[in-house]
Amino acid sequence: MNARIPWLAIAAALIGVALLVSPIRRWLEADMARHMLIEFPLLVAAGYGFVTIFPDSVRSAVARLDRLGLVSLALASVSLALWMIPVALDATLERPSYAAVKYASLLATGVLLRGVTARSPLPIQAFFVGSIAWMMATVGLLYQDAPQALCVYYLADMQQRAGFGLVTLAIVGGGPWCLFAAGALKGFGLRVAKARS
Amino acid sequence: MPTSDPAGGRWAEWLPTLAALSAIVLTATAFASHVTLDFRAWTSEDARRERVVREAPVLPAIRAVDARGRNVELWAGSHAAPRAYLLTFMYTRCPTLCRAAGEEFVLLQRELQAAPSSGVRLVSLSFDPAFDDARALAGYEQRHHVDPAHWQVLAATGDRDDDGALRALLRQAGVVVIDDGLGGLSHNAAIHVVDADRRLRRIYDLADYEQALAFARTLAAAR
Repeated sequence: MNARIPWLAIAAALIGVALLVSPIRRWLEADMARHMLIEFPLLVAAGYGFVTIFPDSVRSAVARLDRLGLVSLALASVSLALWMIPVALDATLERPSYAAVKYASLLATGVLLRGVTARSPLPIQAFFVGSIAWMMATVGLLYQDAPQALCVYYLADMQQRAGFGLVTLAIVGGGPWCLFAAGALKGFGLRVAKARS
Repeated sequence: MPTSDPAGGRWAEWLPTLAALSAIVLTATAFASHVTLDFRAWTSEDARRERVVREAPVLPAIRAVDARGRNVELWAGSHAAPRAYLLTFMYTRCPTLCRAAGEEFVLLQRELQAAPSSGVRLVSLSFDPAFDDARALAGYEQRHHVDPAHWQVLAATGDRDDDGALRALLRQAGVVVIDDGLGGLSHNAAIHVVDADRRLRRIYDLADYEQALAFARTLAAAR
């Protein structure tokens, strides 16, 4: 345990409370770009932060379940893919049951992603990060190219902004992971050089 | 980094991971299939059209006002009972889709005037009762040369945001109306084919108005 951990849990709790407050949630979900580019990451971040309040036994059970990070990365891929389908996104605004599934899936994604960089080898991470970024960019371009609004609850200009944001996030969002991967590869290279000398 | 080689673990150690992966893939596929109606509908507009074909939902009767200020009920009127309806949802201030729908209805009206006994009636229903009073409807009728024998122009009474009859009708038809941020309203515009039992049977694009009329005539002829 270290001093930073409680802050993560507090931040996660604050995010959770903020999303439970109807006016904030309504404001986030009133715009397609805010819904997808702010609320989705906030939910994942909240799940990520909540892990700190879990007992060690639960965390080690998650680690045992998520061998090579396959479960967490697969869940992240399918969760994001599902909520980028226009009819699914509309359904979350129309029916509380679909909204609950969205919250649960994105929170669970955050929970499982905690510690994934330690569990998952770089090639597996690269595969999933690359495919998620590719998927986001493709959907973003489709949103921008569609001749009309794809969601009944969002206007065409909101869709354009969301599409642009998805493409941007696909490009920029992969940046931090590339830095992490570069650092890990450098460390690996140093260990190999040390072993040889 | 992993402290041991997981790939070298025993088969049993992989079972929870494989089970969780299978559960995720199966659940996601089932959910996607459910929400997209067996992967046929990727947008809500596609979904409502598919749902209409499968379920033919009954559209409720609602109170409305016509261009002469008379209180009427949707599906009832002073004319001979139609055997099928071509219904479009609109608001008279609409500068885009509703205008296009009005122009298609002008063409449809001409076809109905040429074959007056087809049993098909055109209905334009405004979901904007705050603005669309009898006077606004009269202006709409004048602009589109509406012949009341074939084309009924109505405005629903009540508030579309209340849990009232108008909202129930819109929900049943799958029509969503939102503010467009410019003082107008954005909505899914289409031609709705409704049978004499008020069942919504098909939804067509405005450009496919001839197919909509052909299907309505088939319904009317079957009565």
